[in-house]
Amino acid sequence: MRLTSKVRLRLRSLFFRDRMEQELDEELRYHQEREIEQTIAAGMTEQDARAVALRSHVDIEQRKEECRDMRGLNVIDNSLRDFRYAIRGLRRSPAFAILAVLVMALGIGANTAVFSVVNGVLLKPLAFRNPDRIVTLATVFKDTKFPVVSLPDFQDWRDQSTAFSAMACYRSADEPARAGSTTEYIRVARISPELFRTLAIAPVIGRLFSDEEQKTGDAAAALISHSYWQSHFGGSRAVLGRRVRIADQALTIVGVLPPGFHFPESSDIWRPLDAVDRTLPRASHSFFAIARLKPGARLEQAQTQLTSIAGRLAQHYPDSNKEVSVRATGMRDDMVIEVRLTLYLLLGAVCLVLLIACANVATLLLAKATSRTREIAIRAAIGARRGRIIRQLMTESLLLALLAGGAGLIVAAVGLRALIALAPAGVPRLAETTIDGRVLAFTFGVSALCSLFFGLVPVLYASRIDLNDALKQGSGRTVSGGRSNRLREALVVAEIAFSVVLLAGAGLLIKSFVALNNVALGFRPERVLLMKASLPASGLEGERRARQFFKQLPSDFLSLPGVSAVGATMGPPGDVESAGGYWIDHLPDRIKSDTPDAVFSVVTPGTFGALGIPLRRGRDFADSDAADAPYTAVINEALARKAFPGQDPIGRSIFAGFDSFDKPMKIVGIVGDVRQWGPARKPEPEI
Amino acid sequence: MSKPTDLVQGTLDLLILKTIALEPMHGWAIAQRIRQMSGEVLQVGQSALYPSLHKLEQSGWIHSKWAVSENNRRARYYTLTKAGRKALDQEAAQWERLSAAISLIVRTV
Repeated sequence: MRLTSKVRLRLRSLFFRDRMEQELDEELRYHQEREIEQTIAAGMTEQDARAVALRSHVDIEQRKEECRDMRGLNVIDNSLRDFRYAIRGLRRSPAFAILAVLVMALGIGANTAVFSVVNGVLLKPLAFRNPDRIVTLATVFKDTKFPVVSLPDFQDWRDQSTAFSAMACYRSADEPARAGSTTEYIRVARISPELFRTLAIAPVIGRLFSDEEQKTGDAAAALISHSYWQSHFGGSRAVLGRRVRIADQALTIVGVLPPGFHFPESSDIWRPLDAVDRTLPRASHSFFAIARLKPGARLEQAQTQLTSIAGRLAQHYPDSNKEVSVRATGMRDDMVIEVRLTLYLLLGAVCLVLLIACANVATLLLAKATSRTREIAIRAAIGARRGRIIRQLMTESLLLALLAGGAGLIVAAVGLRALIALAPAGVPRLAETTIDGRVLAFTFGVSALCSLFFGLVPVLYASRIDLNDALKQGSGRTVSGGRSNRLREALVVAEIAFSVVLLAGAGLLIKSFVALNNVALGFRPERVLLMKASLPASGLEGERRARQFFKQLPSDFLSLPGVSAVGATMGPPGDVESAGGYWIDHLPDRIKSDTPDAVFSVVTPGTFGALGIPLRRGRDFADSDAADAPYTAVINEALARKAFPGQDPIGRSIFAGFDSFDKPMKIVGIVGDVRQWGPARKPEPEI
Repeated sequence: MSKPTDLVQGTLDLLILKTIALEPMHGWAIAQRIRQMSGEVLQVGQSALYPSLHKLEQSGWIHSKWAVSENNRRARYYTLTKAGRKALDQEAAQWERLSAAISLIVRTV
């Protein structure tokens, strides 16, 4: 039988009910009359024959019901009736209905919100073509993975490997960009030529960088994001050829990239690597790298290839590449690896909340079922089969769950916004999270599952009602035996168990949060304001003016009412800008890769005071410690302990990669340790 | 109405299919034909006949059409469909096998 005609028949039965009924009636009546005619012909009087027929008329109604059953009409009919009945039932007890829906809505809403995040961050593929083929490349030093690469290494990997169809490196930073009359900090990415080919991205208007622009690097060309185009150029096609100034360089816009593309790190402007980038040494790991696997190439093959290339590099350049290797990781895995566990934990937690909500509603339903014992018994007594009653009860649960699911979606929409707002910075792809089809399906599925879960409880109860007992109880309320009590007890036990687990988990979380908040940061963040400034400085004249500006700035601020101390720094606590190796007393002949590291920062006199960082020994910088005077340095206690165990560091010399490697800096002071990477990381040596 | 002889489940379907295989018929006529052909042994009542007809139509083996009957009244005529004809062959073959098997046992013991 063809499916279509089957469906057609079913639909006919559904939508042409009246005609079907009428035809059924006519058909059966025709049969009846032929029967009568036959009996008369056989010799019975017409009256007798009619009497016989009348008796059998009662049968007709039953015949009809049987025929309807055969047509599969009753299933749909009964379900509709069940639903209508369930709605009536809920309306009769609105307090119960509202309570149950609210309780479930909270549970379902929390689940939906967290699942949206899991879906957006972990499950949804990246918004690039064939995202599974994109890998990130990271430098491995002594078995520790660092997500950065050096340009010479990268070039060797690119030129010597065959498993990739494209490989690109990039770096990005907030830079002051000016389009029209406003200047603001915009994320600007400097990229190697293959970035867009690796990601399979084409501009919506204009073009990508030409070979010439890529090669010279300083050719003033830029690509802008779709949103930057809309907000700063009104989406006009005349944007091509217009200029955007970054620092003191005017860049000509050559193309606009597709909407939603902001790789890396919400960049809005892209430009080629510059000349300085190209001269960075092999030991300077300043870039991130990605690559696209060739069709058919497997990640393991590519990894083997890269490892052997890295091995060769280590032999060729032992100073910089000893014990240095490279690792390729699937891009999505790499992006979310740190948040995966947290998210799944969170999902587990809200699942527990949902289970508690279910248990609560189940208890409510059970109480309701107990008071409905008589009703159920009566329905059973007048012929409702057990399956029919169970279906009725399940329909009520399903209706509740669906209502709760709908309300839960509202909760989720609000909750999701809160989650995104509250989430720590750096959760990748969080901004892309929305309630999409998959989330809707999840909500619907969860609701249906819940209805099954809490709907089963009253069903279990109802299916055990003893008709005799129930009907005999004249009062209407029955105290039925141990069974329903045990059911209720089991529910309460489960509920308490879930709650305890959840509470314990939440308690632990809060404890670590409080502990993290109480960590001594090494400075006093209260009443400290942070501002950011940068000036274009090209040429000697520009440099001189910039220096003048920055020299003037602190005293200008200091003259403002309410300002007690001012300082300036390259990297405020929590925002490390630079780090690298250091050497005590004299520079080695050759720079090796196993030099100890320290965090670098450049500060003005008074900065330690403004941040409340205590001076342990020696002195702070003074105005006389200027660029033309002998270089001076202040180190933190961690560095003093590490580099000068048992000695006095004051007056000693230290070398580090600030403005120049080769000039010694005289250590003039020691300050307290600051947790530079944020409260969760230990203080590191700092200069 | 006379008490219908109990029929093996599914056998009625076979009888109906076989009966209307010759020509389109309405329900009453189908019942009559079955009674006559079986030598008054098999009596098919409404309670069995109509649900069975509706089920067969639902599963696409037969097809119904309203037409004027031999006594000039509107009646619902059932026709065998292509799928129904195939089903009839199968059911008939199965019945042959089954009844032959049962006969074998009943006769030998």
